[in-house]
Amino acid sequence: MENNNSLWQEIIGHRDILSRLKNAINQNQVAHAYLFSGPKGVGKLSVATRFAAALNCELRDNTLDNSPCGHCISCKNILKRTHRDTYFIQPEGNAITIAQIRDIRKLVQLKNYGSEYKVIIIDEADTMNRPAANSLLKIIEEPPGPVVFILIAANHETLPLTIVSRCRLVTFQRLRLAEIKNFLIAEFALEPDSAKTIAFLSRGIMAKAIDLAADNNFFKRRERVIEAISEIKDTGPGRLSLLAENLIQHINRELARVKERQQKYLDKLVEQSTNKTHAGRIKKQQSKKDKRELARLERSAFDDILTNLNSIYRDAVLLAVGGDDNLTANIDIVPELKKIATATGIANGLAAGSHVRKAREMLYSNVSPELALEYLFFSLQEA
Amino acid sequence: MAYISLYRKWRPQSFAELIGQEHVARTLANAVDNNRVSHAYLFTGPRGTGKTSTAKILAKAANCQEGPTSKPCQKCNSCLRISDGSSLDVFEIDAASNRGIDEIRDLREKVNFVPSEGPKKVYIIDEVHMLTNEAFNALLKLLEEPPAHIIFILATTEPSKVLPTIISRCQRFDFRPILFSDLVKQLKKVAKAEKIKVEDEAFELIAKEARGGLRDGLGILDQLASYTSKEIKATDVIGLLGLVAGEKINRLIDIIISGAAGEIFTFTNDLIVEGVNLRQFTKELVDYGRNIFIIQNGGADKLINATTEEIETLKVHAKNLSKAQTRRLLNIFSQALTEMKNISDPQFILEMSCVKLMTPAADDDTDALRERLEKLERQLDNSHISVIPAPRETKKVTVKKIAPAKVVTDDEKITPKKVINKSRATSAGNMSLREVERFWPTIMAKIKGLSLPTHAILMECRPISVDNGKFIIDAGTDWRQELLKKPTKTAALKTALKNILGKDLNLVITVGAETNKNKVKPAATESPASALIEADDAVDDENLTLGLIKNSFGAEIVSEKNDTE
Amino acid sequence: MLIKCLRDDILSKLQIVQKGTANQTTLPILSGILLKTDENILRLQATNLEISIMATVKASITKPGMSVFPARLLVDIIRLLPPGQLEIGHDENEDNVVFIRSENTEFKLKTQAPEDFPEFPEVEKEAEIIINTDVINKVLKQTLKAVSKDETRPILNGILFSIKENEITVVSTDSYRLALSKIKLKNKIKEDQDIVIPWRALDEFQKIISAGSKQITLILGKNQAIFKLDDIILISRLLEGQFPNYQQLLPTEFTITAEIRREDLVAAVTRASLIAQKNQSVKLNLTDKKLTISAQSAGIGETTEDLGIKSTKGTEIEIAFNSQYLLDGAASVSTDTVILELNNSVSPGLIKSLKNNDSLYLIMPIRVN
Repeated sequence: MENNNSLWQEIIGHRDILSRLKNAINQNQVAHAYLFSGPKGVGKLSVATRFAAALNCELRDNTLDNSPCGHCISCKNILKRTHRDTYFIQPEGNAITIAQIRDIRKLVQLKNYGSEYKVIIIDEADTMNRPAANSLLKIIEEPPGPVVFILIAANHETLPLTIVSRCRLVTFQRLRLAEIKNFLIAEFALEPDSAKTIAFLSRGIMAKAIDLAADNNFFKRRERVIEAISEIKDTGPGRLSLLAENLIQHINRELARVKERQQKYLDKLVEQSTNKTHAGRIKKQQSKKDKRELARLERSAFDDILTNLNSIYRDAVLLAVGGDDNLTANIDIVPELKKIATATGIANGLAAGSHVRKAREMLYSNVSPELALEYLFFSLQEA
Repeated sequence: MAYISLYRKWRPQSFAELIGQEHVARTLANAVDNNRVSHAYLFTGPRGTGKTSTAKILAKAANCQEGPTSKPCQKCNSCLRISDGSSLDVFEIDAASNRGIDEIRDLREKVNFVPSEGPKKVYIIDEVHMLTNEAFNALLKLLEEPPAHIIFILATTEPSKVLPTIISRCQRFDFRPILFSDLVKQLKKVAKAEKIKVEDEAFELIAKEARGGLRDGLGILDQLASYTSKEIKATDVIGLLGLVAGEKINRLIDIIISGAAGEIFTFTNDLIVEGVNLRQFTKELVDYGRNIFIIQNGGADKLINATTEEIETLKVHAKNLSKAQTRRLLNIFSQALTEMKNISDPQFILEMSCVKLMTPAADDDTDALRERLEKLERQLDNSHISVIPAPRETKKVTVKKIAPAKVVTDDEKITPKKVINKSRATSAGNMSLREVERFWPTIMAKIKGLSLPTHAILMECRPISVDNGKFIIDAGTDWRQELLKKPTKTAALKTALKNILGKDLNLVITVGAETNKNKVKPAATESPASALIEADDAVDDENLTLGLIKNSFGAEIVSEKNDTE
Repeated sequence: MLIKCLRDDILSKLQIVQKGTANQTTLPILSGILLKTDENILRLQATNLEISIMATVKASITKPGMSVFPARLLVDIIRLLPPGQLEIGHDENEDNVVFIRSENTEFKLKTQAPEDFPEFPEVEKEAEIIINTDVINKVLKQTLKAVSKDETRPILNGILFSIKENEITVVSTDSYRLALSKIKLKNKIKEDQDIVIPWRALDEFQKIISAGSKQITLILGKNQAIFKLDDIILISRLLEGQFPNYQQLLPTEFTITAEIRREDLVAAVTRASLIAQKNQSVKLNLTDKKLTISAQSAGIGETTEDLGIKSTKGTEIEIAFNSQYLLDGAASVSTDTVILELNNSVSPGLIKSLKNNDSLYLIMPIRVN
């Protein structure tokens, strides 16, 4: 029986994984180490948190799906991350360090405060450096007492095999289009066609879909992208730069807002810290984090534009080779797509796709986004 | 009571229980019985093959109150305590977290104490390759003159990182990946004892996925058993591990043969709806393509990595696809795999790759290759000296197409130093790599003042030489090359050069040399086939087949042949 | 919160509670001490997730409440303030500011939200035991020395308290030596129980003991142990895992026994240890008349010393021990005469008092080449 109000139920998709985890609790076969692997943003941490809650829920009921109740003290504390026998580990700076693992090792040796299981959730476990990973090996192999490790990684292939082979591997797939589409219709009140477009562009990543759906500028930005695509072929270099410039400014406005928010938060942190050295340290750490966040946002904003471009060219190719209209990503603008398809043709569509990919590669190898975009527009024109 | 996972529960407790390491078990058992246990062992091998388990068994054999015996009683205090990890004479040291010199120094002091219980103190140093160099040297001293009551067992998954001097002081045992058939046998045994019902085909899929590691195999079995209380079916394994069922690949190949490119999108849509992992799909598609390729080129059935049933379908597909199509399939999808690794856009990449494969007219890859070839030829004509070991594809093509043998050898032998000498001989204005490198920072500083974007691009580029009025620079990737060719960038670079070196130079922007180091496009290690196929029309099928077979089966085949002959 | 209390009262307690704070940067609030009002007292609390310490101070409460103070700074400030009355509280106008005032001085400090401070653990009480301070002090002193600080075998980083009827056997070992002490109880404990307490907690508690009254209370829970000394409470989490079976490590019989004056042994071994620097190995040669203690180190020199012994039984023997371990063993015996029991040069030796077996010290010999 599925309990409709349960915390399990809040999870979108991943039904097979949930049922496996429930079964493990049911049959008292919970392993001491799990590895949740799958793309960023599909809900691994959400499932891990709820699994941790389920393991320690005071009101857990077999007949109710073994779902965490969500309102007992244990559940509340786990969801708030203040539970005394549940630990969340995240990278400090760029990596999970051996010092963090040593702390964990110490805690694992101590008896629980009274919970059934000690749960250790290691987020972004793939950022563990080699010494950290190796020092984790021994503890996850034979931890004393009832301990459950949940390692979370976007790509478990980068973890040492010795770690992977000691964990139960739980592979998270990208969410299905319909799952995201329905969620967007229900939660964001989007039109089915818009929801489908966003669902498609999110490539099965819920976090991305939510970002896009929450982004008021999404459809406006796409209009600009389409505008650029239709003009690109027969416009002078001045106009081309302007098109690129437009998009960049669009992004910079967003980033300025984020910067403002970051500064406010930093000021507050410094104000609250207890002493000077502490304040200095916090400031340094936070500024580092902020900088990374900005860079990430900037990149992801450009990435969104590239995704837009990509999806339009993809749709153009689809239509050009006679694919089904209903399978287009930008289903809400099929007539425009058809125009682009006729103008572009298969060969150019494919070429454009590979130019976009190249631009994305540039972005990932830390070329400035402006440069990448400029390069892209010029190559699209030449194509 | 916390649940104990199968691999812990079924950890072998005696030499007889060791799976797939008979050579190790036999030798060690003999050594114990003949009282010739060495003072230092090195156990190497992949994860899950029994290194630590064997170390513990050896400790038991040496310390059993009924022994030393190769069949420890499992009942005395010593045996029991070693089994549950509480023995005071068996030390399990995890070199990964105790890797420094201090730890080993401390060890050196402590080894002199006599054992508390049995006759021997056993130190198991796991992941020994993680020790620092100083620690290794300290350990070396310890291994040179070990006290008589000590047995060291060093275990590692990466023996190549262990100092040879250490290795030479140990008796070395290489643990083998456990054979497929042994894995299946042991899995069946465990399943039977644990009353887990499993379909035969499921056993084979688990064993295949365990890739020689018993722990992995038992881990998968454990997981399957915890997820369902009914009989475990092959489909459960496929679902759990995200494997792609063969029929999906068959359908795609059918579409490719039919030529109806529009169908591709319906097909990928279905994959998405069913939640198939597209990267895994592409991986298996390349494997499938490789099998087709082997059949088309007359490879023996036994070289094919597939079940008998699959081979039948493969043969039909091999007939209906042209060789060229298969080559392009391998080429395109190997590249797709690499792209999927870097960019999380698997659906677009898969779809575009399929369309590309099905519309050869739109594929300009061969043309691009030709163009690059011509460029290279021109450079060779002008002065073969400036050609620095270039990207793998051009190099391979050089062998076949243009290059007279002499140039090839030059091409391979030329080191930057040789370039210096030769170039200096031709013209006084020429500069060697080393000289250019000396000026490079100054040039870069100048460029930074002139044009930031140019500077940004050049950061990842490498100057090669100045030769006959040409400044040769390696852009690393073709997109950087294209960017640098833009007039504004070229102008900035030229101005800087003139400013620093005092004369007008022409720019030659090449791509190569650095391709391997380049993060953006890691050489397609994913599929060994791709490297060979790059040179498409230059390499004949026979060589390609050979390469493929070698690459996909490697040493295993060779040893199998040896066995039968 | 607003309270008044005497500087001397609060300072001594703060210095104790401060030991329970953590230096970690991951949870900054743990570097603070929580001050919390209760009726007419002020509670001081600190925790580092392994141990938690609480103490109370007499205070007059003007306004009930709680605040977190940075531990080091608070202790330093109060230490440097003149004796007399202090006023400590939370600034009414500024949410994140607390203050300390004496007659002419005011300190204002930044603070963190007290709600984020971990709650003081609650313990399900299984048994309550009263022990004399000097007894527990001696037991801890002896066993803390032999405890293992090597983290590769975590269970040995703790001390075993094995409770059986009206006796607690306290054991520690680093696998090179083993210390065992027995505590006799007045009352029988209902249920036998073995618990392992991390050494750091016991080390802190031992430091607290010297300042307190004659008795302490030990309360055992399933997962935690509580030590109470007057109004000071120290709670430690217990270690998970199985402590080695110490009884099997103790030889059941010895063939050689020697009675030695403790003072003589300590003096001689201390002298010999000057030479035995490198591996700290001193050699003992025992005949029926005398004990010869010697040491030699390549590149340093050598020493020999004859020592009269009170009595001996059994054959002659040559055996080597770590000098520090020998001294620790001798120090664990409270009588003037110690008994050294041996079997052979590669079997453990035992040091105990003449009177009884309540305190035993087992040492592994060093192999002599």
